Amino acid sequence: MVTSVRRREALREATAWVRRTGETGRAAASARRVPWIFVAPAAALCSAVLLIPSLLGAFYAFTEWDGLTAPKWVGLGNFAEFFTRPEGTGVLAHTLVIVVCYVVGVNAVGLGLALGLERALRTRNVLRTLFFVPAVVSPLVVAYVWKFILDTHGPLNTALEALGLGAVAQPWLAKPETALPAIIGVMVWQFSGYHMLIYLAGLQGIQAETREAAMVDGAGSWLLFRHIILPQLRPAITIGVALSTIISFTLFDQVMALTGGGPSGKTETLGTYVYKQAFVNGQYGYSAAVALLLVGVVCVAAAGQLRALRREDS
Amino acid sequence: MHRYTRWSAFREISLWIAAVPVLAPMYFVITTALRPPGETAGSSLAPPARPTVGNFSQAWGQAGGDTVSFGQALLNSTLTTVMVVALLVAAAAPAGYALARRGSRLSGLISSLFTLALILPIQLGLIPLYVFMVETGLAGTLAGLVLVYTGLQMPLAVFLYTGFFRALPTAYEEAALVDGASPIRIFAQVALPLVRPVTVVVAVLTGLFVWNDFFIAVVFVGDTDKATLPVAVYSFVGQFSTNWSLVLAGATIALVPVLLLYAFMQRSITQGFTSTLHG
Repeated sequence: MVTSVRRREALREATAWVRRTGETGRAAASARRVPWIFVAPAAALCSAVLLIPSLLGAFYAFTEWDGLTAPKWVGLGNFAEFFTRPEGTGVLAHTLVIVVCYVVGVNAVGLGLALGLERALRTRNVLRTLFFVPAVVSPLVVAYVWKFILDTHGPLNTALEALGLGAVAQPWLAKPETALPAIIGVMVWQFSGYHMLIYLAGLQGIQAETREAAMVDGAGSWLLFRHIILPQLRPAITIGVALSTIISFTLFDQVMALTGGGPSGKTETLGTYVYKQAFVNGQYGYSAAVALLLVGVVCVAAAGQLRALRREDS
Repeated sequence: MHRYTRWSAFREISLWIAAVPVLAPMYFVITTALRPPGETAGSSLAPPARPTVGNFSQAWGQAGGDTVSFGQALLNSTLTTVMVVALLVAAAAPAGYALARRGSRLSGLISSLFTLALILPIQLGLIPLYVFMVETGLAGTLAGLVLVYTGLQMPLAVFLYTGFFRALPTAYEEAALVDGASPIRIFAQVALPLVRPVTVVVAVLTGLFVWNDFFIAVVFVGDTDKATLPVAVYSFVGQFSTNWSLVLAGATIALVPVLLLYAFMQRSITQGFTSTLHG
């Protein structure tokens, strides 16, 4: 306890010293003494597990390969196969629908919760904990809980019948029209609280004075939100959108638990499809091609988001 | 600071209504898991007439099919998570330190490679990695699983450490240098203790990822006695899919460790999740 206090004091003193002298971490003399060997273990592990296998994967994407015999070069054959197979474009479409709906949904709900919780409430901490706690537990287990709730004879349908809404009750996960929205709903349910935390942190950065000045000038709550709060939340929105985009593009656990890709492949995503083609069907080359496609789509989405942000800046 | 107005009361009530979808599943899970086999599960919203913990002991005994018990899976998950976090801190902290302190073009290049790896989906490298792990005999072992998780989480850990070391003033390191300390001593005894908050963040974020992940675990240790908790739950559900009381008792067993951890480390975990904002 004492040491941590001392450390915090040391850090504060040093920060003040930097402010006075303008000395930053990079310019110092000790900087040139840090040996490169410090980077070696991290770089080696990351290369061995992620970078080199990814380069190899990009190569296998252009081959026919079962993992045992030598790969055979087929050029763009795997990609052509993906787009001509009956399920191919569907897999791509489901993934894009999930990404768009999830990114919009989880950020909108998260921001709504953050705005609601932002200022003095009697039960603020309880509510914040309650909304956030689903985000720390296993997505697979959360998905099984919802599989039970959405089951034909599950609590949701029972509750609907009890409320006289029996006509709405249906096998949610067994019908193509409701299965995909259900998956998105479960994801939004689990991670809205995480995004709420991101936006709460962002809202803390907005000066109370700015807000009060705007209110004194007669700005209503919508004008205040649109012109004071929203612009200042930009860094938080950037992070929220980027995180949710990456998570949803590679979605796997929740789909496997909720529907397994069914009914009849109507909720298959790029994540589950890549896995099944490789580890169920043994088509390693084809699976690598779909994975490369996934990387391509992620890069396009990342570049698009970056451009949209730059345009807003100018 | 802020007055509690009628508007505050309205917000408070709305938020509690919004919390119903969070509370209701918790209620359904607990009541169903406590329901004895005689009472029909699922079709009743009322709490069980004669609650029992029998489902929990039965789930604990029968988990994971024939390959792994819940106890074994719990041990596997704990070992894997602890080792991954330890290795990550040991490797990522010095890397982030070096990248933050050396302002050369090379460090910029390495930093951007780590950033690229940060958004690279694992799916692309998964097959070559899997084949390599099978050939070296590392697939199906805890050592192999630890290696994979450590490599995959390295970009995030390095990214966090680099950001915090960049913001950390060098005054103390300069002083230690003048005193004749070696770079390794300066790092380990001066710089690293100052960024202990980041170490907590790295441990929380990567630890929770490893503990909760299903995808990597099912690929590398699925169907073995090295399976982690989510994989054990998956096999368990596959076996007892229609017996919801048993399934939800198993799910609850899987949720308890993380919820306990959250209860004790709420502040660190909350900080961990929002720290990416400042990195």
